[in-house]
Amino acid sequence: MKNHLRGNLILLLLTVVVCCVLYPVVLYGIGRVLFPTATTGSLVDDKGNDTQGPARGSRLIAQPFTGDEYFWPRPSAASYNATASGGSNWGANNPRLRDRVSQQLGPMVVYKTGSKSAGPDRANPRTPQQDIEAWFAAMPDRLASWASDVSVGPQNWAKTDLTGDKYGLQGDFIQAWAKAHPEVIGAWKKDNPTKTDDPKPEDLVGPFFASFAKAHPGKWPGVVEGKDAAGKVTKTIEPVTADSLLVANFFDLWLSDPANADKSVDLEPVPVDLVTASGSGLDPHITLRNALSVYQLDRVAKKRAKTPADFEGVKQAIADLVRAKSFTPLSGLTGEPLVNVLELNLELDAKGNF
Amino acid sequence: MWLLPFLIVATTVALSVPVGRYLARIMDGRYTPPALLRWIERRLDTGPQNWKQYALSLLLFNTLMFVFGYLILALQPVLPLNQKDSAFADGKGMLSPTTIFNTVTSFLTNTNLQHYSGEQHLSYFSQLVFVVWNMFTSAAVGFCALTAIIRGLRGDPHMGNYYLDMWRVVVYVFIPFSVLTGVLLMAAGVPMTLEPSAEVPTVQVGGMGTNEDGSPKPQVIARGPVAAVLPIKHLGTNGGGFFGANSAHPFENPTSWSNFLECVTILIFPFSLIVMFGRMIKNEQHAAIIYAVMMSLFVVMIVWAVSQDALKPNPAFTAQPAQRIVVPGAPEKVVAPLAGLPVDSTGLGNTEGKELRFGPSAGATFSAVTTAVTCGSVNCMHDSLNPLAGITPMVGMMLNCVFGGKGVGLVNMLIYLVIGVFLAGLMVGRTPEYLGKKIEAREMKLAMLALLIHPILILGPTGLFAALDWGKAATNNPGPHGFSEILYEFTSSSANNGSGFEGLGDTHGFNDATKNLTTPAPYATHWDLATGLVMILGRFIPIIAPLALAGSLAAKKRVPFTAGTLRTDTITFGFVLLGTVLLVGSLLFLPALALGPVAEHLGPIPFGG
Repeated sequence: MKNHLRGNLILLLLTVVVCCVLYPVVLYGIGRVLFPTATTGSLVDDKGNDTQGPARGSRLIAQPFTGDEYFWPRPSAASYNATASGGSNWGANNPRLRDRVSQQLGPMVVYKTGSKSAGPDRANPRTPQQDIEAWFAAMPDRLASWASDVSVGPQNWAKTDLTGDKYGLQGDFIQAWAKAHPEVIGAWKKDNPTKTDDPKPEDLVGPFFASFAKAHPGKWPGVVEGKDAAGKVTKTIEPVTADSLLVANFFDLWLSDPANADKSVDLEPVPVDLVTASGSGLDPHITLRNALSVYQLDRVAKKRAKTPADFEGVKQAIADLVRAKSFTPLSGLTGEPLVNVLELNLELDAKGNF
Repeated sequence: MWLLPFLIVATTVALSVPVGRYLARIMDGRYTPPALLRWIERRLDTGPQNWKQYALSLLLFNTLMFVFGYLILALQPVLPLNQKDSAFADGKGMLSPTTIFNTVTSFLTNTNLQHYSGEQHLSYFSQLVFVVWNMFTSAAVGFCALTAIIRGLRGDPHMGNYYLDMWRVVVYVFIPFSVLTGVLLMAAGVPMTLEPSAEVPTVQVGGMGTNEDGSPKPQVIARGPVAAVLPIKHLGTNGGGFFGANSAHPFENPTSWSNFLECVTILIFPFSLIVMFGRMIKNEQHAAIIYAVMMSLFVVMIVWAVSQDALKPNPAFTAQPAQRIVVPGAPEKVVAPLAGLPVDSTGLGNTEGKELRFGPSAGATFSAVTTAVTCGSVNCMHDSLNPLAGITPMVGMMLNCVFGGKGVGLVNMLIYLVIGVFLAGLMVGRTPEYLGKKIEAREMKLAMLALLIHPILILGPTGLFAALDWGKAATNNPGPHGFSEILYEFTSSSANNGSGFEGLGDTHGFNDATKNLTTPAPYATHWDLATGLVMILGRFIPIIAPLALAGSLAAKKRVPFTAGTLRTDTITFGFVLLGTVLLVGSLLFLPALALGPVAEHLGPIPFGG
């Protein structure tokens, strides 16, 4: 036994010294000398140059961009939080996945230029959003059937702006409605005898939207900004006919309605990496195809062009820049060309004028 | 599409021959180190051991690993290198006791199942001392067990010395390969720093949201001594990521070349060990047959995953037919048909949970690589693989012998081999022999024990958790995919793999729950304890039983080689072995796979909602 004790202790001591002290110190030393930028996190300053001091980001880490003047990165299940990396972990059969993608597609999608659905006027084409709103208004109780058939969207609407256990505008609106309709709470309690506490707003979306549809046929509970007497911005829920959340929530139903089959074939396909979340939530790249698509390049060019007449020229200049910055993985051996979003946006800002 | 997997496999095969010969040289003590290291070897060598002494030393050292690991993690708040940043103003606190138990068992069993998230829950000290040390030593444990078993099989009078073997593996094998890999990874962009997280003002002002006072929040970029963890994470087939997203994180895997290097470093030792086995038993043709059987299974796994995942779009976005769902005792339900979403997946396949920079087939390939050799590192989220593609990682872990983990994979294959020899012997009516030793009742009992513990440890707890809220409340996906998450977790634990369908809610985090970024999962404690126990049993029974088997074979007299001997170095025998693996594997696991990935594929998609 004394032998075993000696063997164990010497082995522990020596391996700790070798593996946890000597080995990391050697790597640290080599890294400091040979790769000073990479080993501190590939940071870049506001001109897009390598830096180890004050930085605007890391070449390897995606940053959130939502403005029209910027290229957008892939969606992030980690909200671009670089201390909490991770993916959605949603499987193909998870309704949340299809819901997330169609919610993103609805307000964004366009018809192919020159297609029948887009109409003859190329400068002001008809949009899918107009068609979705018209389709929604055409049947008075679409809202009610949506709330009873779909599980994800209506509940998420109730939980918009939910932080901790505090609901936002939408959740409070449902709660206020429920207070005025105590019979709904009673019915819910009867259906859920095992639950002891009161229903949450997301539990009541079915009866809520049904009652809303009855009171305001063909309308959607939109958020309307106004000003109160003191001039402060207020937000209220009002029945509306056009709203980006309406379009987001009803896009999939509109698309799958056989009556709209002729319109859905005219939709311009969205590059898949624009709507799928990466594994880390921090993927710094998008495909070149994505960057050059009407969903990115046209938007950025429109915003950065000073006058509508400049648009084509600006678009061309930006497209050239994007192509110049693209690369293909594995030294060109595999996959398709990619662009680093942060580097591209920094360069756009540095250029300023086009 | 197919170039990347081909390059990975071809490079590793080419490297495995010289590396395997080097390993045989080291393990047979034919390498003479410098004087200082020789002096250390003499201090460590406690003399020749029989299988019982060898197993005892192995268990004693693992006990020491448990105590040492538990202390390091429990004392994390007071130990040095506990960096503070705006996300964790007081540095990293202590994890919940069950999470520490789970993490310590997970790392000492070479599993690296992570019920925590590296960048959120571990200090740099814990990463450098707990994680790195365990990665070196636990990988060496399996390596040593295999070496001892080989010595028994070839009839050595003793099985070597455990402490000396450990030292040789860690210092002569892992350290030089790790330094080389580490330098290459840093060149690709992997950080190696002790500075705290970088805090950067975002380019689009307010992109990360705003503080209470209206000032924009910075992006806090976690970093650290990543390049020290990464090489041994893969070379030791450990798989525990520095970051929560593991090798999908850009700091762990910055480019497609680093991804290529990581795949090769995962595979190199499991491949080379077969070569070493052939050298050590002086029967390279027999080893070549085993190599070929494993390779054919491996190629099928890769081809299946790539064709199901990288060549097909995510079915969540495609058109779905109407379905009538009839469940006895429930009202009939009709699911309305869905149109395909206007999404263009050509050339990319399923990109949910994938990183773009590795190339389109890299995620599926990596999922086969990491589960075939029980590494458990991931470069895409396995939970989001297409339903049928998810079969590849599960099958890799269920068979657990397609190269398999450091040492233990070949040990598992030797068990299948003994069973194959036994079956073939029965069929032709001869006493089964392996390497000139008779296989009798005692050996078969030990082989069956080692073989059956794996399905029992997977299917038993999976059934229990799937039936109770412990499992149902933890799943992140509905229906069959939720079942797959539970099945995957226990398969991964029992196979000592450590990857996961990571949506499963099994994280508690810090003991002081108010310090966590996310609320603890409701049944985290149950998962911590159950998978912890499964990992321990799934590790040590399949090591000790084959050691005993080898010890018992070593003591037997060699029977002369005659015309009636069943040859184990022929192609015919290769098919017998392949058949045994497939037959036994599918009998044990097909029903569970049918309930998970196959049922999910058959729909409805989406499931509910």
